[in-house]
Amino acid sequence: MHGGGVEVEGLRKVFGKKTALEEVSFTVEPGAVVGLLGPNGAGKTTAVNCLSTLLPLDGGRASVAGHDVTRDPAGVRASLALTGQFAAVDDVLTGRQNLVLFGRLLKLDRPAAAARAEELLTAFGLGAAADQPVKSYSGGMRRRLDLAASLVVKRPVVVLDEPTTGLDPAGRQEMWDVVAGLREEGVTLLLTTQYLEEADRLADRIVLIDHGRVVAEGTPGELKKRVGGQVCEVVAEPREQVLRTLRERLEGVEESGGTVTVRGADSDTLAEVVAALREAGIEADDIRLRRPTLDEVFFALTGHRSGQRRGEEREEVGS
Amino acid sequence: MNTITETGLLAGRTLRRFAKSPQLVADSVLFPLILLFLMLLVFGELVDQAAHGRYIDRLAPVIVLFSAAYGAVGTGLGFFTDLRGGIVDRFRAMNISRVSVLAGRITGDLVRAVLVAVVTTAVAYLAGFRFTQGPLAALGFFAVVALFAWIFLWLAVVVATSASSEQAVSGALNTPVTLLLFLSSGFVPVEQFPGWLQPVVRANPLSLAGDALVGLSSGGPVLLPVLFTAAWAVAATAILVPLAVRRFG
Amino acid sequence: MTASTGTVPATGAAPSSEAGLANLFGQGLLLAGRNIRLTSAADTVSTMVVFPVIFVFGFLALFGNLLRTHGVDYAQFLPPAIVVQWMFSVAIGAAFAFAADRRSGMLARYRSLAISRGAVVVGRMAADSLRALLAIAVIVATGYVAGFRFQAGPLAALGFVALAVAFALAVSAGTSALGLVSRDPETVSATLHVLYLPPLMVSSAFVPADAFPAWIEPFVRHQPVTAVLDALRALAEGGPTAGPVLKAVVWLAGLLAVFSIAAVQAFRRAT
Repeated sequence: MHGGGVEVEGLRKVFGKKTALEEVSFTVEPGAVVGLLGPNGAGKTTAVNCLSTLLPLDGGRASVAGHDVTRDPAGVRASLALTGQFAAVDDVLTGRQNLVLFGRLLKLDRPAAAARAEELLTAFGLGAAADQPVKSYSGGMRRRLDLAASLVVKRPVVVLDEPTTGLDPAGRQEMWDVVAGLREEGVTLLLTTQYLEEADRLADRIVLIDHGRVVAEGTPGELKKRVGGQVCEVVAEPREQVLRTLRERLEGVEESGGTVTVRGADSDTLAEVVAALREAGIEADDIRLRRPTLDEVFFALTGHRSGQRRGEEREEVGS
Repeated sequence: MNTITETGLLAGRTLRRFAKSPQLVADSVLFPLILLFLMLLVFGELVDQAAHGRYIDRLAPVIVLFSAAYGAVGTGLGFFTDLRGGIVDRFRAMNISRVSVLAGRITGDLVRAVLVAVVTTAVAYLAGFRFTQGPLAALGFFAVVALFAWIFLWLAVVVATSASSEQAVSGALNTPVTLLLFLSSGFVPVEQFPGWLQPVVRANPLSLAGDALVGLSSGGPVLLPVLFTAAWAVAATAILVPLAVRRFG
Repeated sequence: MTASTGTVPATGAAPSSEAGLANLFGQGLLLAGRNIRLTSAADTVSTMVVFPVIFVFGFLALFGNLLRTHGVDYAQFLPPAIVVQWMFSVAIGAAFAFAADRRSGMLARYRSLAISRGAVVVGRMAADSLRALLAIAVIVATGYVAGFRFQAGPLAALGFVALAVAFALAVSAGTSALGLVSRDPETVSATLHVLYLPPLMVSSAFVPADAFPAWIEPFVRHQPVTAVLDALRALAEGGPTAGPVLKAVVWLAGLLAVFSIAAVQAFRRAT
């Protein structure tokens, strides 16, 4: 019996001449949280749209909770809650009216829809604004209402398409708390994101996707091990001399975007860099440890830059 | 820089922005032309029979005037966008005088209005419209178009400086322009209107300027309609220019 | 937190739960209610009440005398034309609403829900029909003041209303196909507002077909908008109605078939 996982095998999707997805395969075990991580235009939204029966597949197969998306789309829709990239709620209606409408559409009777709306509004911290029109909501409130709208009726699988894109840090944190709550309840979650940090925090497993292909897959720990921990960033002049000095003593020294970086760094690396620069008589403007960016992860795992720096960065969400 | 140079430069900017927006060009040239051909098709025979004159001789001048007035909606929207977008503030910060900003906008759009009128007239030629009063009268024809456009450009600037949204700008300009068009002697002769409406139709600047244009193209009284049009322009200048300068200043 | 595991049980995941007429109309009606709540009252009053009144009186003032010299009672002739013009306006509104729902992501959300596949369409049609009925009522009432009369009895008058609404829905199918491939409601609406003028004006809407130049008269006589107008006028004035109504219905059925195919195609791809 399927508890409600997601299986995608050899998924292909073509828009005209452009291949949006090529042989994409991944699995979300029942109760697991999988992050589909990739830059703009990687094909994340297209994959989500195929899974939620919004787009027909051009090849391969996919199933949600045991229902094949092509043969049994109705079964898929009855098992999946989609929260799309846009906060799709009606501006002129109140938060409560939005939720009641979705409840009624999904066959709750009037009292049940009202009760469920109240429950969700409270759970998602929207109780105070429940009867305000949505156009007065902040970006974070809108996204939470959007998520609540897709949870009005319980579904075994929840799909979140870029839940925090465009939110400020506070809104992002609130959204993360909500998703973490879902995770604790054992809901099967597939979420797409452009942020490594987000995938790291929320997902059990990460599927790295670029140019419509899966380029790496693993737990956040595994991927980070392959990337090699943190990045040490050095801002110092003259650049050439800094590079030469550091390369004599350390692995993974690169120059990118006007700074010198050392991959696979930890606090020992930091000490090593400081010592090396001092011996060479170079005074650094800044030395710091930070998490690797998505771009650096891509570079480390695939040896090439992510699709983001090509011209075609817009995520194709439509036909 | 002196005011004249600044005005010239800013007028050039206004014109270039117009020329580089295909949607704006299509809207301001195509829509009046579509209207010209549709009206000619639908009412041409009826009016020819009823008015003992060729409909195109009246219709073409009125469409030319309509496109000038209708183009002012674009002026209003463009100026509103400039005000909101902060480019006017930048000009001010660059120590360009306010007079130049206003004058550049008006001059550029006056040139545009005359250019659009030339194009519209050329297409109307295909439909049978003719200048029969000589080259000087033809020049006078476009001078009257400019005089008429002047009224609506200032109206557009005043609306743009006091409106709160783009919708408000186009609403506040579209409605009077459409009303003036319908209540003019362009679509049907004055005598065809109900008696109580006829004075309104006769006093409508679009009717008056239309009479002047008919006189200057296919023949008829010229002096009186031109004077009346000029009177409208003077009145508009006296009211609208101080308003625009005060709102903008 | 009990966000997901609330007191409400999961509804059955049976594949058939989307199908059935009860779902189609029940959910369609809910969505119609939503569509109506989204349109602002002020906007509806100005586009569906104020402007039709202005157009009826404006056209009468402009062309009434001219047409009288041609032997046409314009107060009786004009209102069906304004009705048809406003049915176009209703259809343009439908295109605007679909494009807006696509831009906001609402359409994708409805399509991802386990609800009847046709409910979104039924909801749109029901809301549009209501707008159409409002406009027809306003125009007929205004026409009545000016001298327009239903002369063929209540049944023919009902037929008049039904045919006008059917015309609005058929045209809506076509405009919706356009709205569904766009994400820019303003551009769709501006484009359609120019596109609808030729078929409306080059018909028997504002002058009889014989007032057109001879070369275009055959087109005017045989195009669908004229067929609908002839049928509406026959239903209002009496005389032989079966022929014109049949012709109009055949045209509408044909247009509806073609437009629906386009609209359904667009709807299936709209994400």
